[in-house]
Order: sequence, then structure tokens, then C-alpha cells
Amino acid sequence: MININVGIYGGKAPIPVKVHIDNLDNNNDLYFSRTSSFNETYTLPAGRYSILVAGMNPEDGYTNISVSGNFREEPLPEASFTRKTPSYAVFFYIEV
Amino acid sequence: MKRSLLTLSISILTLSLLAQEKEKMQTNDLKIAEQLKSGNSKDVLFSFFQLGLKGLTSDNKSLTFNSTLFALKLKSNPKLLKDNLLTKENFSRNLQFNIKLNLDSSYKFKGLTGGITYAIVNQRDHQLAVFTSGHLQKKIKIDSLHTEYFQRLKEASAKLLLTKDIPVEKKKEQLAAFNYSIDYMERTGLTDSIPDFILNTFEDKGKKLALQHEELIKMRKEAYSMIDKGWLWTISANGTTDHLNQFKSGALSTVILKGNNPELDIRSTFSYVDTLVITKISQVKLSSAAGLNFALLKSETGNLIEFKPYLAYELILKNPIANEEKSVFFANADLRIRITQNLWLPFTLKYDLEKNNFLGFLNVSLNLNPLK
Repeated sequence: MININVGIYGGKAPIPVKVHIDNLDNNNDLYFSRTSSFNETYTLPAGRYSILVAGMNPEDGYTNISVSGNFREEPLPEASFTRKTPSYAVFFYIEV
Repeated sequence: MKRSLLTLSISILTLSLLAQEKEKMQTNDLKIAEQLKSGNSKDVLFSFFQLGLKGLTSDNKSLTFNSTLFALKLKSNPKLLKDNLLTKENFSRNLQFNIKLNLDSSYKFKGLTGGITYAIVNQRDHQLAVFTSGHLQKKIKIDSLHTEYFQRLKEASAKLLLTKDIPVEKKKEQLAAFNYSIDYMERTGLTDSIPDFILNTFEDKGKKLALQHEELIKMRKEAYSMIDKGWLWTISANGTTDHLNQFKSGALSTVILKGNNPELDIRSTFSYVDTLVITKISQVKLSSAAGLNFALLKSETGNLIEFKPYLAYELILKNPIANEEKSVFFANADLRIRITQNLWLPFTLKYDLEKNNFLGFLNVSLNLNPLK
């Protein structure tokens, strides 16, 4: 079970936040987008995954992105990021 | 192994230093959109705080402080910045108040002015801007471009993890370098100095990705610029006391702005003033003005010089003072010069069309944003 928490600060996200959970061992990938902050839990089968989160910040705003849960391998390279650039993308690797 | 880790570490360090340098050289795009707003519109409805020194060259000087209710609430509850809470704060974000210290020519206290302004219509709200709905969605195809950009990143990141059985430490370094490289490109718009092993995950060494990023930022600016053409309609009420803190005057005003270069500016004020000549006279006056605000000089970071010619009409509805004209037409012009990113010097030139007189007033206004 993993949790993805995306917090948008300073206004609305001008475009939806896109998330891709890529199962590196097969094609059972998960793709979704959200128009506002979210904190959601997903049940994933055991395996290696990469998670890509990308979006745009509100003007003068920032976004906190974090991944938590029960892992065989803790999220790499970090479990959380803060991005203040107009557009951003962060990448995680996890083993469930 | 140690050598490759060292190479990666040096790459990240180099990127970090280069990014910091580039950030110093390049203006942050986050700030640009806010700066693109006209000085004229910032005087009508500001973002957070505004400090002003008005009438520097006249007998009636004033020191003003303007703020929104939201800016004050934010001081006590920073969590309000989160999107789901911020969007519920429309009233407090559109309600601003002002306190003005009135001074005479020798900077002696002449009284206090307090007032509130509320934006009935505010289509220029950048914080609530969503590019994927309404008229913006039809004109700016930013989300479809971002989907392509996302796809490109997805393919590159997958390539990075193709090789199995990489030691955890090395994998961590590689992923850190990947994230840092993308962040570096997002901050600077450049792909130079990004390590080859990252660039090689893109089929064209990241050239297309950088171009798409540049286009995304351009579209973002364009979207904010379109938002600034929307309607802004405010109403305000304020009252002034004299040096003995006795009520002296009150005013109800409304301002309408529309468009961007030129920006249509229509405003009207209904005022009540206690004037002391020989005996106390309560005068009631209606002042209206309409004009167009032009950006005479622009830069990448916004307007540098603005010029607003307008016609003003003043009508005394009750108790004109002896020899005072009951109605006067002025041909006025405001010239605003931006001194720094947030400091404006507005100069008002008044021309009495009937008496052929020139009058000039120099003001200063400083817009402050706590997020910067």
C-alpha cells in the first residue's frame, strides 16, 4: 500500500497534476490526473515501480510532493520534494 | 564504483552551482506574471500589501497602507495558502482596507483616513486561474502540450531504470541527478551541463524537451496576460477625520477596469466634505473620470512606463464656496514610472480646461507580496 500526497499552495493548479505509476516488471501501469491537492492511497502488487508526478504551480505558489507507505525499498532518491518553479516534474523509485 | 559515484556527485554539484548562477542572471518566471499587471490596476486592487506616499509635491501629502483581509488572515493561519482552503477565501481575498495618514506641507498630522474596498467583479485573479477551462481552454492549448512533455519525461525516466541489479546507492545517485537535471532545466530553461547519461535517456539529448518547456512557459505568460484583460469592478467607502479626530469627510467610490494596453479606466466618487472657511460648510461633490491607460515602455518583466490620459468632471451638488465653480472639466494625465520591480512613481498632471491652468502631483506606491 502506498500513499501519494500532493499539496498545492498559493492558488489553484493552472493545469491538472499528472501522475504515472509505472510497474517496471509488466504493463500494469496506472495513470491519472488531479485538478487540486490530493492525498490518496493505492494498493500495488509486489514489484518495482517508478512514479512520475508533473504539473504547474500557481503564480507565486509551490507544490509539495511526497510518497509514503510500506516498502521493500524506501523511495529513491528522496521521499518528498518541494517545487517552486512554474512547471515541475519529480521522479521516484519504489519497491513494494 | 567509487569513481562513478564521485563523477555523479561532481555532476550534481556543478549543476547546483550553475543553476544558482543562472537564477541570479535570469528573472524568475514566477514573478514575471505578477509584474505584467499594470501599475494602474495594482493601484485599484493590489495583491497583498501596498505602501504609498501620495502628494509629495502638493500641500496635501499622505502616507497610506493598504492590505487585504486575506493577507492578515494568512499571517495567523499560513495553512490558508493551500488550494482547497484558499479557494474558499474569495471574500477575504477581494476585501481590502486602507489606512491613510494625512499630512500638511510641513508633514504635520492633519487627520486620518480609513476605508474598505471590495471587488464585486474580479476576473483578473491569478491565484484562481485555471488554463483548462472557460475561454482560456479554447485559446491556449497548454494542457495538451504538457501531456506531450510528460510523455517525453516518462519515456526518459523508464530508460534510466532499464538496467536491473544496480546497487541502491548508485540508483539513488542516478535518480537524484535525474530529478536535479529536470529541476535545473525547469529553473533555467537550459540543458547544458546536464550529465550525458541523463541526456542520453532522451532520443534527441533533451532538445525537444527544452523547447517544449520554453513553449509551456510562453503559453503560461500568455494565459496570465489574457486574464489581465478581464473586468475588474470595485466599490469602496472611506471616511476622514481632521487633526482633532473629528469626522471631516466621507466618500463612496467605484472603479471599473477592462482590457490591457489600452486599459479602459472609469471611476466615480460621491463625496461629503466639511469645509471650514468662515463658518463650517458641508459640501457634497460628484467626481467622475474616464480614460485609457497605455504602456509606453515595456520590458520582459512588465511595464516600465505607463501613461493614462483621461477626462475628469467635478460637480458640486451642494454648498459651493464663494467664487468656486459649480462644475469643472479637467483634461488630466497620469504618468507612472516603475523604479524597481514593485516601486512605482505615479505623477498626475491636471489641466483645468476653463482656466487653462496646469497642476502636478507626485505620488509613490510600493506593492509588497509576502510570498516573494
